[in-house]
Amino acid sequence: MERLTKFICTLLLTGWSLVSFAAVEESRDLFFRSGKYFVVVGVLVILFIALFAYLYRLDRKVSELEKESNEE
Amino acid sequence: MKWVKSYWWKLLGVSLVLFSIYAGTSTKVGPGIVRITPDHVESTSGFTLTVEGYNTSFDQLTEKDIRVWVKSMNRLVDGTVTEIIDANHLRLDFPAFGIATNDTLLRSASLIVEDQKHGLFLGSEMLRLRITPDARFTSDSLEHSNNPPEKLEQSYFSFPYRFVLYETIRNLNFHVPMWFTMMTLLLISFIFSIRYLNSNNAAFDIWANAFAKAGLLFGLMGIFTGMFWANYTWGTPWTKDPKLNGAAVAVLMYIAYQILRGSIDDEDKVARISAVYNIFAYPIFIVLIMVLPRIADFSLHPGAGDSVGFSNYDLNNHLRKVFYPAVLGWILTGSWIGQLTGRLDLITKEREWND
Repeated sequence: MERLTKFICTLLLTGWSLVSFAAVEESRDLFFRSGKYFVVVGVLVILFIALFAYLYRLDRKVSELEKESNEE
Repeated sequence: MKWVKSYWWKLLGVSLVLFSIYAGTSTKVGPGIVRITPDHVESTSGFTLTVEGYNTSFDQLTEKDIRVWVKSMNRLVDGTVTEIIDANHLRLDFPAFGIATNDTLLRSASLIVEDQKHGLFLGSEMLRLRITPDARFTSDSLEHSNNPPEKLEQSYFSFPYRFVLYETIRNLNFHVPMWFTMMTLLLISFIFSIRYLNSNNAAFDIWANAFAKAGLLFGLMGIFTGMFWANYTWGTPWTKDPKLNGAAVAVLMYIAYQILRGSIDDEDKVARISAVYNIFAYPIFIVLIMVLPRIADFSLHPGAGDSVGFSNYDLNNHLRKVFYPAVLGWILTGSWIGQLTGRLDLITKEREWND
C-alpha cells in the first residue's frame, strides 16, 4: 500500500512538473492552447476518475462479502 | 444465448459510450471567423478586410473557390478575395456601397464566407458599418447581390464552431449526458420508492437506494466536469447561474438522502422515511434542474434563461449524431452501475437477514 502511494505521488509530481515547465515555455495555460482541446481531455479524465472511484467502492463491498463467506 | 439476453443492453451502452468518446474527440470542429480587422468600416468608400479564420484551410483553395459577402440590413454586398495569406488568413476587398437612409448610421454587419471545402460559414455581427447617405447610390443598388451564396454543404463531418468554446464544444457529448443519466437513474429510484410504499417489500427499498447512489455519482460527475469546463470558458468554476445553483441544491438533496438513511437505526423506519423523502425529492429535483433555469431571466447555460441552445448552431445536425448516442449510452451504462450496486446491496442485506 505504501509503495503504491509513493508510486502514485511520484507520478503526479512528475506530471505536475512537466505541466508547469510547459506552461513557462508557452507562457500560457495548457488548457488554453490548441483551441482549448485539453479541456476536453480534462473532462474525460474527471469522468473516468469518478467511475474508477465508484468501482473501488464496489470492490471494497465485494471484499467484505468475500471475507464473510470465508469465515463461515 | 442466455448471455445475450442479460448483457445486450450493457453491451449496447458501453458501445455507444465508446462511440461517443471516439467521435466526440476525433471529429473536427468546423470553420469559423475569429477576427476581422478593421472591424469599423465606411460603406461609401470601399474597404479592405483581413479575416482570421479558425480551422479553415484556405491554403488548399484558390481565390476563385472562395466567395465573400458583407450582409447588413438584409442587403448582401459581393466582395472579392484579393489574397490568401495562409491557411487561416484572407484579405478581402469590398466596393463602395450606400444604403438610402436619412442620417449617418452605425450598423452591425456580418461577413459571409463560402468555399468549396468548408461550405458556408459566417462571422455574425462582427463588423460595424458606417452608412452615409449618398446620392450616387440610387434605389437600384439597394437590391440584393446578383450572386448570392449557394448554401454549399461542408464536404466533411464537423462540429459547429463557437466563439470562446472552440474545441470544447465537444464537451456537450460528455458533460450533458451526465445530467440525463442522473435524471433517469433518480426516476428509477423514485419508482422503486413508490413500489416500496405500495408493497412494503424491503428489496424495493434497496433498489431505490442503489439507483439513488448511482444517480448521485452521475450528478457529481456532471458538477465536476461542468466546473472544469466553465473554468476555461466562463473564466470561473462557479457563477451565479440558475442551472448551476439548481444542480448544486439537487445534489445536496440526494446527499441528504444518504445521510438520512445512515442516521436511523430501525430498518423498517429507514425504508419508510427515505421512500417518502425520495418521492418528494424527485419532483423538486426536476423543477430545480429543468424548470427554474428555463424561466430565469439570465443564464450562461445554452437553452436556459435568455441564451439559445446548441441546437441553433448545429445546423447540419452533426453534433446531434454524436450527442444522442452518448445520452443513450451513458443512461444504459448508469443503469448497469445502479443494477450492480443494487445486486451487491441485496446480497449483503440478505446475508444480514439470514443471520
